[in-house]
Amino acid sequence: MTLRELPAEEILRRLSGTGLRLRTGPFTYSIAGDCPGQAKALGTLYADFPLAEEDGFIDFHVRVARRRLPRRPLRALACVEIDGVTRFGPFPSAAAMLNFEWALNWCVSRHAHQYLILHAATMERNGRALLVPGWAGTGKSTLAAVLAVRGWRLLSDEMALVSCADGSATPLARPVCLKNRSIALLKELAPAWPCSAPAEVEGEGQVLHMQPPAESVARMDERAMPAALAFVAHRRDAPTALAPLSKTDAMLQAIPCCFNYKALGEAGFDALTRLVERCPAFRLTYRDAVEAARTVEGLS
Amino acid sequence: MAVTTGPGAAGPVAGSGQRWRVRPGPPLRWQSWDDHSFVFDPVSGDTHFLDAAAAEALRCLEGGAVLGRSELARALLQRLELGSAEANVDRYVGEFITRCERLGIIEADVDAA
Repeated sequence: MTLRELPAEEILRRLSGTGLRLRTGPFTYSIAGDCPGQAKALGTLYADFPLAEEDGFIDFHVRVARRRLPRRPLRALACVEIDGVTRFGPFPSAAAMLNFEWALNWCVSRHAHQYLILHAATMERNGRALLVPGWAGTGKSTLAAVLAVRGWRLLSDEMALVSCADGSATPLARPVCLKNRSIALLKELAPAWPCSAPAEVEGEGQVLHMQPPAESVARMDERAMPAALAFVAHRRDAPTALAPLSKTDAMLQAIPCCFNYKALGEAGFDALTRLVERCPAFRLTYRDAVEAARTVEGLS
Repeated sequence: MAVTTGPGAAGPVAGSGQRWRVRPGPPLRWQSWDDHSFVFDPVSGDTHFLDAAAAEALRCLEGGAVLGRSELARALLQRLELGSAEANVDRYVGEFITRCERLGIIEADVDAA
C-alpha cells in the first residue's frame, strides 16, 4: 500500500498519533507531527512511497513539532525531533518541510555507515549511474531535477549511498529540493509536476520540494553501478563545459564531498578509490541546466 | 582527513645521526595514479597525498627498512634515477622526514640510536 491510497484524514490521524510509517530505500521512518501543512506536503511528495508494516522495525522516529517561545509567543515556530531528541530548530514553521528533509538526510548520514556517503545527486539511465558530487549551491539538485524530467531515474538529489561491499549505489528516491530560479525552471519544463507549496525561507529564498518520479520510487530497491562522476559547478557567467578530470583530481575533489569518509577508515579509502578507479570523472560547469543535461546525456 | 602535498613546506631539518622507519602497526595502504599517490594510514585514519618523489622516499622506508637521512637520500637518487649532483635531494629528504614524522607515518628507530 502506498501513501497515495491512504485517506487524508488517516494521514493526519497517524501523524498526530503513533506515527506514519514510510519506507524510503533501505530506511523506514515513523513520522509524526502537528505542523500545519505537513500532512498535505507529505501526501504530495511521498504519494508513491510504500507504507511500512505497523509492527515492523523502525530505523528512525522523526517528529516535526510546533514550538512557541515564551518571548515570541505569536511567532509560529517548529523543531524536528529524531528518536526523541530535538536536533533541528526552532525554525519558522514555513521551513518545516525543508528541515524535515534535512533531518531525514541527517539520519542517514549519521547512521548508515555500511555505505560511503557522498554529498551527491545520483541519477541512472540504462543501468549506469551518474554521481554528481557537490556541496549546497553547486547546482546538483537542479541538474537532478532536469534529468528526472527528461526520464532519468532518480536515486537521490543529495546523497549517494555507495556500498562498501560491492560499490553499487543504493536509491533513496526522495523529493528533490529546489530553490528560486530552479523552481521557475521546473515550472517551465514540467508545469504540472507535483511539488510542495513554495515557502519563503530566511537565508534561502523560495524553496519547494519536487515529487520524485513514480518510476524512481517503484524501483527504489534496485541498485545501480556508478559509471561516471561529474563534479558540478553552476556559473551564471560561464558557458556549459564538460572537461575530463584525472583520477588524482577526482579523488582530491571527492574526499571533501564525503559525509563519512574519515569515520569509515580503511573501508572508506577502499570504497572511494574503487569508485574513482571505476568511473571516468569530469568537471561540469554550466549556466543552463537543460544544456547541462544534454551534455551529460552525451556521456552515456 | 589530512591531505599532505608532498614534503614541500620547509621545517626543522631532521638530525643526520638518526635512522628512520615506517611506524609499526598495520601497513600503509596505497593508491597511485599517474605521478601522485594517496596513502591511507590505518593508525591515524588520515589520507596523505604525495607527489612522486615523496612516494618513492616513503616506499624506501617500507618493508622494515631502517635508513638514516643520507642513506635515504642515496636510495631516493637511485629510485628517481637522478645523478649524484642533485644536492637538493638532501634538503628534500630532511623536509620529508620532518613532515612524515610530524604526521606519525615514520618514526626514529630508537633501537638503532
